[in-house]
Amino acid sequence: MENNDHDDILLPDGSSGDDTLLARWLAGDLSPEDLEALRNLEEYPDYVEMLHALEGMEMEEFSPTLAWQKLSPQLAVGSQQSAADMPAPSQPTEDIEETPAPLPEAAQQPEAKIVEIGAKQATSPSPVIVNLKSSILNRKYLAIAATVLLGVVGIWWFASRDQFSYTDTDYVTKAGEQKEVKLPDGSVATLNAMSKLGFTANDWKDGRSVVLEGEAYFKAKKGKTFSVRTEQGTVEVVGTVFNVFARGNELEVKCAEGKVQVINPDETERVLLKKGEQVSIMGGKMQKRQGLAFYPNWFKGESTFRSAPLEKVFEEMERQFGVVVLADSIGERTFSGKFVNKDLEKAVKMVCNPMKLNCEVRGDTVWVK
Amino acid sequence: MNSSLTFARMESLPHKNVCHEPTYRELFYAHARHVRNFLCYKGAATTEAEDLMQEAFLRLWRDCAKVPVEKVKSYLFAVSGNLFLDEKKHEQVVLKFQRQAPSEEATEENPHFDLETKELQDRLEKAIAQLPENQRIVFLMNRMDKLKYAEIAERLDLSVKAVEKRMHLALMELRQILKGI
Repeated sequence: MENNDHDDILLPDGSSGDDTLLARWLAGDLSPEDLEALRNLEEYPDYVEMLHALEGMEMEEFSPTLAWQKLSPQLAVGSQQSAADMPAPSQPTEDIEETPAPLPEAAQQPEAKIVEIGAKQATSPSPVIVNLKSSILNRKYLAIAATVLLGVVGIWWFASRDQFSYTDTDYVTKAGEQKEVKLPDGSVATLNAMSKLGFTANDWKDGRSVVLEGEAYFKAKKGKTFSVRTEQGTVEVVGTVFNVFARGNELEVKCAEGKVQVINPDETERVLLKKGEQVSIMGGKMQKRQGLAFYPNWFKGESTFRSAPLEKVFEEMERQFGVVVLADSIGERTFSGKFVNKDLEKAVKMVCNPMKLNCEVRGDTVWVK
Repeated sequence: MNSSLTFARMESLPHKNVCHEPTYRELFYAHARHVRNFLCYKGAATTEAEDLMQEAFLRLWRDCAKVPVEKVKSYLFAVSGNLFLDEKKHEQVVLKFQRQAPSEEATEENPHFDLETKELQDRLEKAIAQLPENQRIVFLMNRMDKLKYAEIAERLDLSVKAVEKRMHLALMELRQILKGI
């Protein structure tokens, strides 16, 4: 700190010719004499009281994990190839051929204008922005690949949008949150963290049908067919208890009671699960397993895993605690066990200790070595 | 779908390059909250602040080859600040804070403390909104985001001394405004 030489007399308004005094006081940078002088000021108690009251004030909560989930689809195409293809920023030598020049391309793509400098900000997250990023690849075959990818992204986007486009009652859980949803017929769905469940209350009488993205545990009352539609397939039951995990390209259904029918997205395959059975669909392929690996327990405050890839375990941790897990080469290792959903430090230990991983929690981030 | 892969790998951290997705993601996690809050301090409503923050990060992605990692912070604050200016004229700053009793011991010592503090917090909320923008931003970045003066200076492209001055002024000003509320 530069100016520590001020033996001026402090004026009652705190100004003494020293225009950083209060700032340095807050930073704990005052000399004992300055501190003494400050404490003798008539307004000193006001400042203390003010700052104390401020300590109990916080900005509205913010979940970087959720924000990232919102942002990342907009980078999707670029992220897959541009990063690898990108020249290091330190060598911006080649001008036209190599250096990414997204702006000129923007002119060819009218929609891409939304991210041009000075233009209005993009209001709806749309795959259009992806255009810009993919435009970096000024090579024919990559352009074709990008177009195909873009199409896929577009379809995915529409499909995922479409799922909830006609539901009128939606429930969403944040990271670390679980929610019990009562459905119109008295059936109950418990939502795990970062999940979304929707249904159309008006149409409920015509058929019990909900849309799910994420994970939920259902207790369906006996009655007409109760269906859970996900991007990765459909689950139909008459009246039973079951767990549905639908994230990424995976659908996993566990039947806890009664019978559950699971249908793949293009409706070419169906499987009937009895109590204690489970099925998973990975990228459209069905794999039925006899014997429930474990009874779903996440709604009792524990996330349980049986021979699950560590990556999936950490992903669940990210959802349960709203943290980021940065893992350095965990490879293909698998984990059997559980972690608690309330205490992050403890949860990290429950996974890292048995796996002999060196883990550290720093704020919102879990470092795994 | 790629977006479901919320898993950061750090193998390629040594060559820090904003275009490298894990690096970019790390930068997002490190700065998204502060950029969003910064926009709130400027007077944006929370949703608007979050949209503009996202937009600033999209631009960073677009410009990733041009922005060296060490310039990312000032880039994000400058871009998001400009985006906010472009948005519209912001007449009235409405800043809402979440409240809690500052500390539990205080309530035990003095049963009236809760009420008094709550009342003071209400007035503070109004007073903060009336602070000149420059002072408000620095003051809240320090008090809410717990950023050190040097860190604020780096983000806002100011000298540490300038940050300290604004901080000092903000405190004096706040006290004055509070007296009038």
